[in-house]
Amino acid sequence: MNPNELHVLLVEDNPDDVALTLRTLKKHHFINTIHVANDGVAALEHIFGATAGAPCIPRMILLDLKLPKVDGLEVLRALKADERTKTIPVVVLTSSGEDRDLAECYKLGVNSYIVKPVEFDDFTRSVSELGEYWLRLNKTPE
Amino acid sequence: MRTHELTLTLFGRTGHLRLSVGLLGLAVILILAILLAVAVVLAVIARRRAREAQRAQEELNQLNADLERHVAERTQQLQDANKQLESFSYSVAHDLKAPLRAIGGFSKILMEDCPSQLDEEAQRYLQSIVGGAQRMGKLIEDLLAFSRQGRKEMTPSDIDMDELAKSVFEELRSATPERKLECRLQPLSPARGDRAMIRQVWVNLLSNAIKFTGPKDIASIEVGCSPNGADQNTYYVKDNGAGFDMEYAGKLFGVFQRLHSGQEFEGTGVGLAIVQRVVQRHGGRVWAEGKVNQGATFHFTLPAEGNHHESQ
Repeated sequence: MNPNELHVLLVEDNPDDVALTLRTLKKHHFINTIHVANDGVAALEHIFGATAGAPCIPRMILLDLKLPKVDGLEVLRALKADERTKTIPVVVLTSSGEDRDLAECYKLGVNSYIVKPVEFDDFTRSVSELGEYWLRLNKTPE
Repeated sequence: MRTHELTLTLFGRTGHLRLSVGLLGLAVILILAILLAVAVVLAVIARRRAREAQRAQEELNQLNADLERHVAERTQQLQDANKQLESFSYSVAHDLKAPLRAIGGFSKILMEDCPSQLDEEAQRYLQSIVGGAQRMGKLIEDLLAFSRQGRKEMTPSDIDMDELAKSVFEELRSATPERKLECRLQPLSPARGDRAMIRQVWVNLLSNAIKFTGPKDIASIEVGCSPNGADQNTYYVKDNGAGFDMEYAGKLFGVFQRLHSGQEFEGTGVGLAIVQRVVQRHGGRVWAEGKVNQGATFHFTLPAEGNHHESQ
């Protein structure tokens, strides 16, 4: 069994959104390890490491778009441009439902795009459903 | 003496003759000179006039060019200002969503996780916080939708309005199976415009008709159309619902303007503002007639099929 199988990377700068997302994912027993990166630089460092070595491959990446330093689109571009990381499912979880953000993400090869609902029940349902889908139903290459 | 006389006479005649010829020649020369002078003067005047006309034309061209440049500059400035305003309202609305999610979310978590520590009153307050956050969330979503309709690029095509209005109505009907809805769809002439945006107009007007006929046993809704000259059509949606007081007709299409309380009919007051924005971007106009408790009719005009007149 792959030790990283249920390892998820959450890239999110808003501590409240981090807390709400973690609570939902934990409550629905999805995960053993969730690593939180608060900006794009921290996310890329977590994946590619400070030195050149084998990248860390989480089972799924939840990615916000509006991030300090390096934004979500740049992180997505870097992940999808690298042969070693391009197969990691990346789910964009953002407040933005703008056409241009959607178009840009899909051009870069995003696997899913979810607009964060404002309402808590809707938010909880979205996060638990995407966890169910990407961590239980969906198969990814070993 | 005779000879002399004769000579004199001859001379006199000849002299007369000569004098006449001389005078005639002089007159001719004079006339020619005058004509020449007149011609020269006329030519000079004509040339001066032509030059003046040319100068005036050049000045006019310059003024026109200046004016066009000014108009282009001002238009650009206005467009820039408008874009800035749109992106400002977008990012404001957008950034309001995260704190709102926290307010509603953590209130709900408190109620879920610590029910034993919260008495009835505290529960009620938290419920109000959650309700307020939900309403504000809805307002923000609607404001964003309104802003999107203003910024969206339009892709015009000819639209089968019969099919569009019918499909929208059927969709809305299936969402409210408990209601008795009677809908008369009169034949609708095809229009030209952005299909997705015009679909939104039908959705908003028909869902309003369904909403405001809520208290009626049977909702009676009529949709129709009349040609308005060769290049425009006027469409209408008529219902037998709550209607409105014509005194407030001007307020109907304003953002967040409502003529009914949230207890009577739910909504944020953005639907008709979106209708107006879409119709105006197509170069049309929208208006309404109504009477309290006797229904309302909403009219809107759109370019007719094949009308390629540019709209904003």
